[in-house]
Amino acid sequence: MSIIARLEGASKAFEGGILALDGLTLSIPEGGFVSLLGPSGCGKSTALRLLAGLEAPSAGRREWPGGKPQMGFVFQDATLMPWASVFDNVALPLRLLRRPMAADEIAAALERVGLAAFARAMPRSLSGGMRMRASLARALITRPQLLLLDEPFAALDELTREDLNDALLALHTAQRFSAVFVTHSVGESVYLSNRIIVMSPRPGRVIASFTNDDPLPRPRGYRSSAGFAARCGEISFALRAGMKEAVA
Amino acid sequence: MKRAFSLFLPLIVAALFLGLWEGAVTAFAIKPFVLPAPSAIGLALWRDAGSLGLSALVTLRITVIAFALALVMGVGLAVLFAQSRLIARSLYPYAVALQVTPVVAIAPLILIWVGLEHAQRALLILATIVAFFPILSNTTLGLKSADPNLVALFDLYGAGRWQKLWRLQLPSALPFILAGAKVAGGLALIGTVVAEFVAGSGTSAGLAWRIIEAGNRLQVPKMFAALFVLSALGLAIFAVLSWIEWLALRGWHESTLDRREG
Repeated sequence: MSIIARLEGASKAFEGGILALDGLTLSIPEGGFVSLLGPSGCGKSTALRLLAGLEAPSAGRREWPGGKPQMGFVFQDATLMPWASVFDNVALPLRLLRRPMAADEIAAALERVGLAAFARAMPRSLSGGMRMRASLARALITRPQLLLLDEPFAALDELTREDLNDALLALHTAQRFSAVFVTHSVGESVYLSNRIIVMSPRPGRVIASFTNDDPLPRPRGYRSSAGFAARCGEISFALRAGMKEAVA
Repeated sequence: MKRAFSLFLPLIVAALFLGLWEGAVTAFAIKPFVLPAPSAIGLALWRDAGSLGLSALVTLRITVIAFALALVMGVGLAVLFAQSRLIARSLYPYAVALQVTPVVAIAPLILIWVGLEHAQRALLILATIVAFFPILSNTTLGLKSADPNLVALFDLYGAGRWQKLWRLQLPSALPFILAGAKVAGGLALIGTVVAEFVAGSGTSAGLAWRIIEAGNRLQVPKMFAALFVLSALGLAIFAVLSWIEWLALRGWHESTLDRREG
């Protein structure tokens, strides 16, 4: 499988000498769904920003073997423009890229995230889950090859979160993008991805890497299956081992 | 019910205050050139409505043009500052210096420069100087206050500087600009009146001149009437700007949120 983006021994130090990442190496396969799992403040978000090219590594390399891919980014907050309607928010990437924009294309994108009836709504009038759906629609409107998600559902309640996980997997199946999903939830990483990379506390390094061959998208009952529980246990164990090592 | 009450309360205060005032003036037989009774002021307002109204229009015209100039210059300069830190650093101290220098002190100089025969121009310049700073400083702050994640998103899609300005920074700054404009509206009026005072007799037919004129003739009720018109003008400017603010921010900004919502 070809690689769409890669970090090679990437380190990132911020002003004041804080080392967020220390020699991080990981690669994102085309069409794959990779979760970056780690405790808060382990540099997961920084790794994502490096992959996106929003920041440059202080040491090591970031590579896009097939050239800079078209990307979409979803933040922890929906990060919608509060002064613009849902329609205008979703249309933003096309406008910035000066691409021709068809209204029915936006309508279809809203349809796919279940917001067909809310094109004219202002973000303030939507619930947290609906705002996040709009944010997803915006990130996917350019048909990106690489979708980067920075703990997008962390602030949502459990049920909304599960609904959005399913929505995301359905979109992944339909649009075949590569995804990098940053989370600190073990269950979420197992449910969503076929590759889980466990990171250590700051400065972030890769301490373990798992594959989950269960085909995507996962059936509804997947979360209560024995296989799911076993994988979660295994990954939690690795995560805890990393934490202990950091404390010692 | 609550709304009616909050509207009613200031009216009751006004009635009480005016009643006490009227009573005190009558009871202590205070001379009208010391303190005229509200009824006398009302009478002056009625009798001089024509000349006061015309003067109010003169003052209002200068105020509105000065405000518009201040808005264009303030936002324009702030946008320029946002484009280049070098320009901002070199020019901002002078904008502050202009602001902290009392306008009364600059007025005679400006009058000499533009010539007494163009006193209107001097008034306009002075009022603009006074009104300009809150718009500049608020817009400067507003342009910097765009959500950093949205800035990152614009970067991700390779947005240019003008796209960022037009689609992100200016909308983010809008609440700040409007708040600055509300302050500037009042200041434009103050600046106009102060400049009218300094320019003095024969140069202007504005409200300040009515006050000077009435004062010279010891027509104290008319002075009060002119003051009343001036306050009303200030309140009207504030009301109009608040309404524009509400129109522009309705539906998206927190300040327009009905607290009972959500």
